[in-house]
Amino acid sequence: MKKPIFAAALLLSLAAGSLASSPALAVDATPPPPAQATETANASTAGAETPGTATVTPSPSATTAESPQPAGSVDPAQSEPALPSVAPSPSVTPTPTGSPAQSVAPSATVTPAPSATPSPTVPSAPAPIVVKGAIGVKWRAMNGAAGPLGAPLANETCGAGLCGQTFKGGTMYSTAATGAHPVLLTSGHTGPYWYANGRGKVLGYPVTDEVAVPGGTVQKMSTGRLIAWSGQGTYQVWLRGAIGGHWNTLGAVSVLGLPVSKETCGQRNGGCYQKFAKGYIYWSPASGARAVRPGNYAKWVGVGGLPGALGYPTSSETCGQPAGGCIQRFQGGAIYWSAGSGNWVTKGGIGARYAAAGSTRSGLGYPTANEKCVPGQCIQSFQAGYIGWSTTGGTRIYSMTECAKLNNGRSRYPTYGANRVLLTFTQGYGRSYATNIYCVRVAGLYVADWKTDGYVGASGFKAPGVPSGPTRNLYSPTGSYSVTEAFGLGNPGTQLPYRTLNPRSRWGGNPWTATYNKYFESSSWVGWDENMWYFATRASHDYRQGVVINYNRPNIVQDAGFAIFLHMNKVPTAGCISLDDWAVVDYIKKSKPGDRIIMGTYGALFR
Amino acid sequence: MSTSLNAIDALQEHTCAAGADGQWTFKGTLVNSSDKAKTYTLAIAVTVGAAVQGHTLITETVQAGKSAEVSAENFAKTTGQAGTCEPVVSVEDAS
Repeated sequence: MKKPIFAAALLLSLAAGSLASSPALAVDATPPPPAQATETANASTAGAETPGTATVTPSPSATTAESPQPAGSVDPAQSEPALPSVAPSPSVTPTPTGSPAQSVAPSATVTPAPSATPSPTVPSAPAPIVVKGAIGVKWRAMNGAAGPLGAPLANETCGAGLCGQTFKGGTMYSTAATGAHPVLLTSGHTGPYWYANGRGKVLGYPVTDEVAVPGGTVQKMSTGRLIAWSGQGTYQVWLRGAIGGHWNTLGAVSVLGLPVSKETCGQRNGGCYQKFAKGYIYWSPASGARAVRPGNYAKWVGVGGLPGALGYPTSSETCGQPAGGCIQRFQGGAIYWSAGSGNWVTKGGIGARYAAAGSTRSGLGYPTANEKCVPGQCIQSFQAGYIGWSTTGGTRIYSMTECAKLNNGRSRYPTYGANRVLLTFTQGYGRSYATNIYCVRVAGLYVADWKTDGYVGASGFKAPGVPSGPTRNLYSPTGSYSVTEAFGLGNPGTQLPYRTLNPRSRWGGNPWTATYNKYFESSSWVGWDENMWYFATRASHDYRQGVVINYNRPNIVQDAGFAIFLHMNKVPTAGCISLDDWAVVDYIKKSKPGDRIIMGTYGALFR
Repeated sequence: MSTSLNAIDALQEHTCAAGADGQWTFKGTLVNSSDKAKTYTLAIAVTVGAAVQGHTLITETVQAGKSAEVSAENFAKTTGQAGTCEPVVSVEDAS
């Protein structure tokens, strides 16, 4: 049973340099015992018609008169100067050999030049080197000695179904199953790699020619290793390995392109990876082999890559999602892609909430950014909303609203860094029915805590920069205003300075008086002053709870407008914002000094 | 001193209406059913929509168990007789 193994090793060692004249090389290649080599060679060439071709014994100890010692043992890659001279192409004479019934291909005989030191014990000329059989057919198809392989350096040697023959320009191997294929030493791209990286002992014999593929060439070896050349170098893909097998399953060159790195192991948790022209394949025992295309790879690396929170990919990119999108899962999250949104990562609590909501099939659509975090808070934007997370409140889904315009520069008015902004806008001038969106900042992005309807001045908004004027004209001002104090009949729990009203509570409405647009107390009710107690206690309880909007404050312009509040009693007002009771109370509870209210028509507020 | 947020129950049989000229008149009766003298403050305003058309403030001390008639004339003017007249009442112990 050992004979075929020895024979195969012998053949592969032909190209591995084991038969080189250097003793050291011969040891390295572990040549088989001469007797075995001779025996197997004989057996494999039983049908040859040229007697000399069957007696090649490529062992240093098997020198015969018919086979000069250097002819079959010189490594063309290492000992080219010592190679026997080869007759020019006219001397390569193809001669039909064998009968058609034997299917033996024509052979050619090449007469090598006399050895530089012919043995005095061999009076006759060296036997010609024959190129025959499948190797001969292939060699001639490659233009014989004038082709890339050049002249033969030794006769064909066979064993265990494998035949091999060395040429000046490479080595040709042949089996019945795979046919004859050369490894080109000088004129190919994959051959030099084969010669430099262990040859047959490591890489096996070729089972294909070197063939052109998009971006380079490839040649497959009997060990399952594919040698691939591209402008970025020559690398091998082990098709029987997890990474190479996955590369092949995905579509090989047509999908991921040619390898542009060797397979590199020693990664986290015992993993490996290999880079290809159009992506990477990562493997670990726990996750298997998975491809990561460039778009996802960039995002993956952007959040820490393999050592980061995502870890190894656990799925290939799966497309066919809504809107033609794709998803790739990782140990710690996922990367989503769609044409309209790009590649973005979801992970952690936000990723889990997104997945629980239905991910790409949820109302959120695809992510449009990675999550952003500050201590204690994170936020991630999606096509139709946001998901926020905080250490205190867990995760929450926020719908997409005009709050986003505070994030993307589409608001004409600044927030001045306020953590809470109430947007109040109508759909045009002369309208008092208003949309009110309470925007809160989570990890730097404004999202809608709530949205509700309400009213502003019954006459609508004045244009930007135009004073709203006396409340009797029922106009609301346009602008971005701070909120610094609240009032009402009892503090609901705000961090704003809170004023509890009493029957003497007034707000100055008479211009050119000291109390204009200020809180003051009086036992009288004069002119255009507002009796805050009255409006707090009448049935509609407008001022039961309210917030001062700092329009025309603290730098007061006389008769430019006064008493612009956010208050209860959701009806058209004299210039204030009116909301449902719950909204006013919630607003007051959550407000802090520095919060702002941006109010006006939609067109005045947003680009 | 104690102040009631809204002592509207102390105001009984009140009327508030506009004359043909759009001038508004208020009349009512304050009833102190407690055993202490009370000072009542009536704030009355006439509004059309959000606009205040006029207002008045009446302060009246009523002895314990007594009542007092209160009124205000021409404290608001509207175009026609449409409008909403609403009083609010606060009360505190008489000093």
